Amino acid sequence: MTSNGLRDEIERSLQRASERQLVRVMGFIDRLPSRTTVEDLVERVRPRLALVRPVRPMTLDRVLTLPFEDLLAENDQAEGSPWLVPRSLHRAVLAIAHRRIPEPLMQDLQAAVIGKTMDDDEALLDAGDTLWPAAAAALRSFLLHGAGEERVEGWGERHRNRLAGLALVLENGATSVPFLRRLPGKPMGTLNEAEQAQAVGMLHAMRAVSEDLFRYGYTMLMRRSSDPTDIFHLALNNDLDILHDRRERLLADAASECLDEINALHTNMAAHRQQSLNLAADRTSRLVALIQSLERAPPAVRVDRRQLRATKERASQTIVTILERSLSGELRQSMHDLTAAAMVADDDVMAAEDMARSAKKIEVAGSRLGIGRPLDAVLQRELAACHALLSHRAGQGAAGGNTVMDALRLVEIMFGPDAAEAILEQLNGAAGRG
Amino acid sequence: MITGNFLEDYRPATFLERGVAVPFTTPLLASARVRPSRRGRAEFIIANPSGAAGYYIMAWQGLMNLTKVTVHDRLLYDEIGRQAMLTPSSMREAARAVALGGAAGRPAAKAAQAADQRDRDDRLIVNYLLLVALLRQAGLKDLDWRHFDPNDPNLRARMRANIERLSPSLGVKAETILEWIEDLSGIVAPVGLPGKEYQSRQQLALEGVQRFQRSLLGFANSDPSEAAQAALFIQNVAKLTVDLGAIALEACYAELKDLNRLLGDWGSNRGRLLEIFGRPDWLLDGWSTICGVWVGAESAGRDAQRQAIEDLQRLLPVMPKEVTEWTGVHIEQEAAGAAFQRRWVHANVDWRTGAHVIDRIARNEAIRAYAA
Repeated sequence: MTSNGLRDEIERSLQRASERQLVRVMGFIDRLPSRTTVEDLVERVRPRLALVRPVRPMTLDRVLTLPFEDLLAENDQAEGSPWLVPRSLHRAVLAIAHRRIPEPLMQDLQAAVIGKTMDDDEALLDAGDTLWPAAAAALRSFLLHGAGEERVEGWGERHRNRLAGLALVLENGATSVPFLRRLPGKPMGTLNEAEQAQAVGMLHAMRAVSEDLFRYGYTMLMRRSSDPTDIFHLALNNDLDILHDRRERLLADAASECLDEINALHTNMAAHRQQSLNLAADRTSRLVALIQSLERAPPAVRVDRRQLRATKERASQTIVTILERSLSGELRQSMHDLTAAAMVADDDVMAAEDMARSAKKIEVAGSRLGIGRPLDAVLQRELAACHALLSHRAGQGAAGGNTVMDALRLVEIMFGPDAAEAILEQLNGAAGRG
Repeated sequence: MITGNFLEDYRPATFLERGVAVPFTTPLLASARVRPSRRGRAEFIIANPSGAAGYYIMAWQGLMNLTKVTVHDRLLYDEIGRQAMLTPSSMREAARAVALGGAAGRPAAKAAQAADQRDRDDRLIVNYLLLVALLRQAGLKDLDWRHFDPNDPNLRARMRANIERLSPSLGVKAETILEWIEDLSGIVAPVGLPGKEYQSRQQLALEGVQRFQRSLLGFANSDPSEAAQAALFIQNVAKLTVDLGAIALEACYAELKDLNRLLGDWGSNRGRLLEIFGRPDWLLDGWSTICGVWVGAESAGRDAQRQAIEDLQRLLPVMPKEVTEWTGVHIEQEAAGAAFQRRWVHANVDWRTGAHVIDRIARNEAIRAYAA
């Protein structure tokens, strides 16, 4: 296969992939000699990857990124916070580290990670213990001697402070990473007692180094969590050795960064209404979780509630539009295809089911935002259309056996088991009478 | 939360009292077991829906009121009602009948079809192997099962000619002996025979639990989170199940050592054999789902594995007291493991794990395909 052909194939696979398939496609990409040509495709499914979390082979770049992985953000969003790392700068960090860490050391580390996976904590921390301080030294030496002269993609003078901050984070990777590894990955739900203890332990350890490092740690938790109010409570309910006014400022900044993320998510959803339903569902779920969490933020956290309300209103409208479009478009077409053909390929059925699940998630997320009524209206309209289609096909004897059940499964996923059972009983009754 | 030991032995007396694992796909009912109630109707035992320790016992209507039950589960309930007895084997039959209709998705339907075919093939193979064993025990040494072709139309006629030689010693006609062997093969096929001639359903299941146990031990030894302790407890239960399963299989094999004697009093031996050969199925009941949950999580990274551990705790069967009678091994009441639980969550989200209910149903359907 040509590299273009391979790229097209991977693009198609990633676009249609269910979670399970995504793991397989990523496994395939990981085995490619170079993933440069498909890096942008992987970038597009990154939010989904964060949810699926396939086991990944250990590479030096991944180990190096681990201490600041939670700080990575899209360039636009990173502009709003000095604690975030824009993706473009990430590329520069990797390039600088590769260029400035002594070759023999890199070769030793390379040999140590070959054949390991990122789940291997022992190997990972062993490699990190050497790599992170070396990378920190590389960044510092670049800032001191090479920043003005060397050409590094993604680097700009405006990033000087961020790079210095990253050197601090890397230097203390051995402190933060063990804690981070014990916490759930992104999206991190509400923490249980043991997990809260881990999070507080990490903040204490980072605070003992410096207030800046603590601030990075706090941002990591905020970025990882789908319930930022939980993280606000960590700062409010524990003595983190921060002065009162500093803590107030920290919470206000964190709330503002969270609002920025919500706005960015919404802008992205609204601008890419044609994006895959899988991606739309994941973004909607995170958006709604963040909005709900910020709404519950304690009074001590100064949230710009007016802005939050406005964003929520806009997001609600976008969700209704996306659901309407997906139900009357892709899903209705799938239902039509399933009932029209005597033989439908398994892959097509599974892709349709996956789509229905994503649409359902969007609907559930929307209901949580309090827009159940308009969403219900959309659902009722579509259920009536599905019912009519299935009855019509059954009357014609067009669809038989499994294809009826395939279509009914879509009805069940989207409209619930009661709706599917009612149609099933009606179809069985009709068949009995026939 | 650490749960201590109960002062009294709370374990069910018999396997039937523990109930048969029901392969429901509704997330809240995934750990359900069913048993006949005193009134003769089915009653369901489910792990405490709140995620805390303990079990709820309720009728079907109670389950319907508790949660939105999938169409698959509603059909399965109807199918369970059609079974004459509640056993792991009748449950498998019911689950396959529903899966074949497509209610759990196409992969589960195909897996059910393949499993059905495999069971039929196994029965044929065992039928032949038992005939060969019977003839060997009677002194005919030159038969080789590897030349067996289940599609050979003359096979039965050739076997019959050989069996006729045994007719006088068993005191019945060759046709009757063939019928008994056919009956016996239906009982033996799921459990298998000693040796490596073919792998039966139960032997494969036991190997599956053994693999699961080793994998979980590996996880427990390498994971830094609190899930490791729970994993250690689960793998202990798995290890116990493997050990007891092996004893139960050996007890079955011992019954087949003298087929002449067994068939000599087939009328009275049949019931006893049914009971003994049913034991491994009861011992391993529910473990295919447990292994399926873990297999699904193994390739999906640490977070998925930690979440799976949380689920597994709820699926773990309690060993009834009857097991001592079956295996001769005295089992102490298991100390409950350190319950490893998480977070509260929103509506339409599985409140024990935080996963979206719609994803949990899909995962349970995928397990149906694994454990058909």
